[in-house]
Amino acid sequence: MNVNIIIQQVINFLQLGSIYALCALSFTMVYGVARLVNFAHGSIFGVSMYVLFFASTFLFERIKSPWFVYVIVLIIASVVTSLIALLLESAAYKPLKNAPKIAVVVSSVGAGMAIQYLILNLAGSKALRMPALIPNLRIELAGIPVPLYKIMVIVIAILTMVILNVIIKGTRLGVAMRAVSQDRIAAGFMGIDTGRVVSASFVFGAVIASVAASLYGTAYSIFAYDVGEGIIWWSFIAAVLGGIGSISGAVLGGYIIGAISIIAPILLPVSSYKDIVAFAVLIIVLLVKPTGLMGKKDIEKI
Amino acid sequence: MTKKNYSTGKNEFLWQLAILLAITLTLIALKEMRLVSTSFLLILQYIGIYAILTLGINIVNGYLGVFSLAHAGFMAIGAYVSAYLSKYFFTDITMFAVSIMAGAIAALLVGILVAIPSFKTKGDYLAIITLGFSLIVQSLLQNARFVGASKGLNNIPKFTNIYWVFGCLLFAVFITNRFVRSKYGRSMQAIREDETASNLVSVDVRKIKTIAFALSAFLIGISGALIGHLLGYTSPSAYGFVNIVDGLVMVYLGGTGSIVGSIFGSAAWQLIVQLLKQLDTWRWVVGGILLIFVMVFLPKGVFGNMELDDLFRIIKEKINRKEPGRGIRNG
Amino acid sequence: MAEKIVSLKNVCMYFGGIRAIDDIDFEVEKGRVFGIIGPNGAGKTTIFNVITGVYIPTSGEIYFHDNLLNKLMPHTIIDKGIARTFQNIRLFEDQTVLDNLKIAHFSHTRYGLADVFLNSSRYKEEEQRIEEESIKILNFLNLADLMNKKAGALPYGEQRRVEIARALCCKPEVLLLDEPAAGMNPAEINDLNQLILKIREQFNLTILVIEHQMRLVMEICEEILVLNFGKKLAIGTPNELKNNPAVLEAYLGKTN
Repeated sequence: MNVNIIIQQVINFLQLGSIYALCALSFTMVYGVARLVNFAHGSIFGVSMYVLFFASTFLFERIKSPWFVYVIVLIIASVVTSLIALLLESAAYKPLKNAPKIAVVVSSVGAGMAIQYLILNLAGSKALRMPALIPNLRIELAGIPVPLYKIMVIVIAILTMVILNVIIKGTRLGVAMRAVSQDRIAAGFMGIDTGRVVSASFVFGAVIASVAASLYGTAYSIFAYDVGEGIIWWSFIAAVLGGIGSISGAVLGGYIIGAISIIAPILLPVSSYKDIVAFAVLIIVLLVKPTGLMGKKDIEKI
Repeated sequence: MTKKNYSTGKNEFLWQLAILLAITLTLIALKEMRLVSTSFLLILQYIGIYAILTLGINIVNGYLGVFSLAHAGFMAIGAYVSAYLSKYFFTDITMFAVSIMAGAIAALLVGILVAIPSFKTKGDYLAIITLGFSLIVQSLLQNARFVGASKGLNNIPKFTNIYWVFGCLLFAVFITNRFVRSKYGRSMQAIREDETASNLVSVDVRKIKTIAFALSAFLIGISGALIGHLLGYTSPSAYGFVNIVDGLVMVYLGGTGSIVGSIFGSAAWQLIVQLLKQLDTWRWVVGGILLIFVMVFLPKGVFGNMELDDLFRIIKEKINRKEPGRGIRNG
Repeated sequence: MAEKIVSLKNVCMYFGGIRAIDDIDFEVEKGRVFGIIGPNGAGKTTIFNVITGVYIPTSGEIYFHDNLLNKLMPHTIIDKGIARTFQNIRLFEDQTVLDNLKIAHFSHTRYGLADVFLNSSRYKEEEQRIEEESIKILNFLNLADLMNKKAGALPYGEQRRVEIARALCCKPEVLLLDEPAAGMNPAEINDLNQLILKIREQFNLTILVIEHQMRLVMEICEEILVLNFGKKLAIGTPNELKNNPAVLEAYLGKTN
């Protein structure tokens, strides 16, 4: 393999890994704070894709500046998905606060299914092509041509992670979120409005998913109604691999899954075996370290 | 379980046996005397097959209290092994039982392996491992040429009929019922409540988990064998995420830790699916919303940890109102 | 010399940098009521946890008779003849009292899966036997009236006794009681003292008991281990400890 291909593949890996990492982050945010494996999250990602598609198609006919359009459609998608996430929380999750944990999971499965097929019924099953949200220029990296949008995808993803980190480490809301994720009851006693913090985590999850959707749309452009299913599965697996609830674990897991997705098809005869490799890695990691790579080992108190 | 004790559970068992026997006889009458349409007969077979599947899932997800998503994988193994055998080796219907058993035992053996991660891993982590198992099975089948890769197996002899279905269901109910009332069943429910405490009152947790997964896989394997021989074909796409959800819905709709609930869950969901069929793709939207409603209003399912006699007792108490508060969960 | 039934040799249990118990060394004679006292966090429950296999000790050896217990699974250790109760009651709350006891018969219920599916006579006999034995134990502890109640619905004091009954169903030689008197008033503690002596007599037990209530410890324990910050501070009879200045200062002095 020549250097050119290797660099292209490294960039492909960073691109895919960044998208997985962001999705895993959005997943882990909700899990860490609300203690809920939100199976509807994939559908929220799907909604995001469609909002981005329709809004950008509409705006590109009227507005010339692509960056301006990108920011506007991202805001629209974030708002729409946040509202849906909040609606889900109040209609499908909150009423189940005292029910067995599994009831909420099943409820979220139902919500995910309903939303996904709502998209199918409203927008059709035809695959769509996302308009180029980020202008497709070519730049030279050490003499090798690299599409600008790929670099931008990576940069925007990492920027989002950094901003998220700052929010979680440095703001009052972030501190409250960390408190709730560690001990919800104790956090409540300390005067934290846990209900609001949980809702905030749903909004965060939706916004990050929207950013991730915009990057996914930029990177791969073709999508259909079930786009959320695949991408969110892999990011869920990434989150679990890293240790669900752990922010750094989600990022690590995202890049590992990204690496497997890029490397495995090169080495294996059948490209779909990459799923098997990813699952095998996951299962082995969990067998050795049952709470994921960065997950805290919990010692049961007796 | 709120039984007085397990040795008097016999009466109830005979009860259930009698009910099922009556149902089966009715079905025979329905089929032979052509009292109902063939499409309705087909729906009844779906209900029976999915009731076996639901019972199997319920053993691990309900009684043992482990959230497993391995059932699609077990079902695929049961379906493929039995279909392959009756397509190429046991082409005569007299050997159908052998094919079913082979499929079920293949699933059982794999079930023992799938139990191993459950020794140390719990909750959401275990859910993802078992999901991984199901999707790996699907992926392997998609790439396995000798079983038709993604097209799957076609021209499987259509051996399944209403007798086979309800015969197998009766067998599954019998096995499950005996199992959950034994020390194994008691231990499963103890593990569900408190694994460490169970271990510390001498319950061999790993052994119980292994047996539970094995039995669960065995029953699910039977349902897979039946469905393949009912449709005449089977393909990897029938064992994906939608089918995992399908199984979960029936378990949690009917109620965890309940035999009657498993049958009810299967019947209710299959009928709902049939009714919603006219809605085309909208049925998934309606189905999803329905699922949320069921969970919000009946978080333990219709028959959560109840059998028929528990239900009768509660109804009786409701009518008499003499002994309030002996509800199912909070005593 | 009387027979040693439980012995710990230089047992340490570290969680990361925390030394929950550090170099613990003691032997318990058969038939004794052996007390373990110490302030909160001194490592008392950790000793029970390493004996019953919940934790694998970082170093040291634990013997039951002459059997090394160190790396055995909890149920194997229980099966050998050690049973315990829990500081925070851990009954199977959704199950009836009787079922709680039957579950604890697991390791010595002698039937297999084939007996279950074939409804063999051995299955029926064994089920009947464990039911009768459970009821006998419930009668002994005056709990028979409650056997069809959900364990979680019982008041606290009764739950404690059901837990003792459940532990007895494991047919132990050694019974570990973790703060059995927690939350009890003096009259109840007197009853509990009588009960502990009575079950020792009846079931021929050696009893290890963790307690804060001096009343219980001083009245019924024949030998007491005093822990402080995971280390052995002293060991001896109640009278010896009463006069031990180190113990008085570290523990008894502050409590009384």
